[in-house]
Amino acid sequence: MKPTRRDFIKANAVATATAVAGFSPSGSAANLVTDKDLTQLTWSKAPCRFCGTGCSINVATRDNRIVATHGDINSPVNKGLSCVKGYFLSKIMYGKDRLTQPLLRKTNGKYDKNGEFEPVSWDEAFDMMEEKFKKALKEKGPEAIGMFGSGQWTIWEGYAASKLMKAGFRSNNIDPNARHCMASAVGGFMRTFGIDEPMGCYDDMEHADAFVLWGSNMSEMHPILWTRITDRRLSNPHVKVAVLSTFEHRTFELADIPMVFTPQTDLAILNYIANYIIQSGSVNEDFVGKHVNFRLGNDDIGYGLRPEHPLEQKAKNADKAGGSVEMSFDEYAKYVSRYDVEYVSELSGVPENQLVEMAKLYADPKVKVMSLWTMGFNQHTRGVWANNLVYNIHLLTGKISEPGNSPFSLTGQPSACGTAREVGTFSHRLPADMVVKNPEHRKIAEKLWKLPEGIVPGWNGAHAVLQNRKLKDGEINAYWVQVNNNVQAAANLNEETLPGYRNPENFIVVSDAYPTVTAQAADLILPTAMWVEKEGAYGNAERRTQFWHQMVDAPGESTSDLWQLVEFSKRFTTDEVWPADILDANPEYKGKTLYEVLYRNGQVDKFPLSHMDEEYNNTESTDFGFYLQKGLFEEYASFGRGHAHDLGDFDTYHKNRGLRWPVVDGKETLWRFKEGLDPYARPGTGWDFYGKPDGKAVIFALPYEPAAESPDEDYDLWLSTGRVLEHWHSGSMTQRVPELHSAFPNAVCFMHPADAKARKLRRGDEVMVQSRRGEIRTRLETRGRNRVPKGLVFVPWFDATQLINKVTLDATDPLSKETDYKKCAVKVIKA
Amino acid sequence: MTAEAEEEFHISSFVVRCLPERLQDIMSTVAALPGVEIHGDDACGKFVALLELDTDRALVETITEIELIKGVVNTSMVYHHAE
Repeated sequence: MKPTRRDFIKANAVATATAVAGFSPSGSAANLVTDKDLTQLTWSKAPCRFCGTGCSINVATRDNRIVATHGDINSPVNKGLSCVKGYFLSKIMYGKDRLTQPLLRKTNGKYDKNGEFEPVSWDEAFDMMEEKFKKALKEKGPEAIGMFGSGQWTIWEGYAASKLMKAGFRSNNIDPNARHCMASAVGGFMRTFGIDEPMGCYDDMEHADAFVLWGSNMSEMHPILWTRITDRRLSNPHVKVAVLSTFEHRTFELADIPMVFTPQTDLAILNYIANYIIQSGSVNEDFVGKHVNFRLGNDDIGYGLRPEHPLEQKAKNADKAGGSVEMSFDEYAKYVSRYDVEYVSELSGVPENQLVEMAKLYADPKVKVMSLWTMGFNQHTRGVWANNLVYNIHLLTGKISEPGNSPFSLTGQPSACGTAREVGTFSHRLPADMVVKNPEHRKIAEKLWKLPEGIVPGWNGAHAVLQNRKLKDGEINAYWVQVNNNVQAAANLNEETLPGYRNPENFIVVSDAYPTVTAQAADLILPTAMWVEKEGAYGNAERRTQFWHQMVDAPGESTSDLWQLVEFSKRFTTDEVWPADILDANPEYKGKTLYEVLYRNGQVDKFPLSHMDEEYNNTESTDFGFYLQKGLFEEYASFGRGHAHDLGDFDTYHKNRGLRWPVVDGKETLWRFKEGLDPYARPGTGWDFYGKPDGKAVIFALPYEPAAESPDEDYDLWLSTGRVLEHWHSGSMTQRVPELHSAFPNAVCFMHPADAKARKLRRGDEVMVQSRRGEIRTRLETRGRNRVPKGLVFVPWFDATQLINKVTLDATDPLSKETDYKKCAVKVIKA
Repeated sequence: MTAEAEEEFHISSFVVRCLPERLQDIMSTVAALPGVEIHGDDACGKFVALLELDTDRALVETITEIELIKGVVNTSMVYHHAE
């Protein structure tokens, strides 16, 4: 009998999966598509649109539409695999409610903040934006405008935005939503090492003997990396996995040492491990002597609330949160000695034997340890401290910067590293780890941007949480949001977010592909191209920069964020936005548009259209008349080349599956700071933490301090928020995929059965989750994938119909300004 | 156009990773799910599941069902074909 087409496809599916699983040696051959119908598709590569893992995906297009996606077998990251979100990538762009034209709130044909959205032309949209931005700039100056961007911006979008705001409009009020996700990790890196981003890479997962997960549910949030750890663990029986969390989640399935701790006590557990290493004589004295300094950090630093809040008034060092003084090793040993196993076990609720077992993994010089963390550490009012404290452990033992010994900060967004961090779209940063407060750094930026001295302002701009406060207070009046859904994402929605968006003094522009909660709170919505509807580049968590081509055209009148930024710059002249004294001293800049001085500066417009790959469209470049993405990338790359942030040549990234920076002489760097592995580590040093002037990393003495708000008699439960596998962040994209939506349609409140019983509640009951700030109505879940301990409830935040951020508290880490979404006090009652 | 080409179908293959001591039990549970075949396994706790279902929704529900089985550590899709 002739095999049917279905049989053929099934055979192909099995062959591919067995090859990927390693059951058959014929790896890449099995993935070859030989079916005639399938070969009519055009396949191209792109990094996934979702998390920070950076899986490479093969994308098939036909008739200007994406029809299929699958894991790229040539990718060193995901090796042919894909998670369930990745599999439905082809559908995220085709939601029924996709926006296709600009929408402005109007009444009787005129703009009205309280009017209804009506379609307008791009010209009318930009006219209104121009009027409002010019008014704010004229009346109050650059402090009165702001932009909120994203770790989902492509590298050149983030770069173009940062340049437009900081150099064009002379406003540092630009921040990415990575502030909510990675700012504490950045703070930790800068404080301990003086240079951002992990020293190791994903290859550590095949070398480590032990994995310790600190506040990361990798099984659901980074499933493909979890397959690598699972493979390592299951095929090497000596390998151990320790998982710490404030509730039990799916990652616990693989845990040899499963630990549920009381919120905030991770700080004490980290100090206990350091203490154990010292007490058991396991300090790597040679390493510590040569490569480490000790410092005592300021304590009692407050909770990043508004300055008049009683907690800030009470804090001793709220205004000196980053301060520290030198100390000796002996002083440090004494400092951590109070964190003994009895005290920490009592405080954290983790049994003593488990604490000891985990501490031994770190202390044993023969065990290579990889520590991994995400939001559990970062979304923490002591997030920078938590990052510092885990580095302490790796530095005390010298377990760092070599295969398998790796403290590794995972990222949540596809380009939190590549765009938000490396490009420097944070309100205090410039490219390549430079900062706006440093006059030398500003000078370097002005020189590389070919702009007059004094153009980049030296004041720290408003960070994410402060932007919302300033919108509410009427201090920022013209505001542009791109690629994020911050009304849903920011904490304390009713009291701090929405009032600013609806403040009559303010004009809010939101660029998005879908009518998100944020778009609906705006005054003007700009329809925006997504993912492979434009040429792009992302940088993942292991410093890997990856490119993709524009594979399909955006629907209707949608345009990319990049086009919007560059096109909008044409509407402003230097005379309107730059001070007269700078223009008088540099008359050649007079009367120019920002477009001319920022993007037609002889660098960004250097590469002709003939450099583009003729197989692919490139809407923006064709429109502007030069290869815009290449020009922006090469200008941006000039910041890091020769300064330990080297990126490769633009064209190579379109051919390969990404390279990990620093890329020196065409070669990527897998492990930084180790002589022989990192070209920047100086000969004879062994390890060279060159981010610090003396080449030494810093161990910080920092205490356990309680959370900003803990359960009490009135609000008797901890609330932790987070994600579920099927939905990514606020659900703007995943909720448009019916299959993902049906798999987990609405958020629920996970509660321990005993807590439910004590409140006379049953599984499935409609309940109110209430805090001092707001409430939501949801349903109770006492079973399922998340098993919370008594005293804590967990609510995911993807569901726009149940906005849990009405309930959360906008307490932030005073150092990183990142919000703690994992801890506040609530009560749960029957609805 | 033949009748076969008109009806919707989804073929998808997965690598399922589970705790080795639970492998046999989990494979029998998974094999009993409608539209699922098992192909190949190894002692480390991996096997390949082939799903052949009529709708995307059934596919996602089946994956979720597999993921929530006690002892399943991870499922990842390798191949998906729909028409």
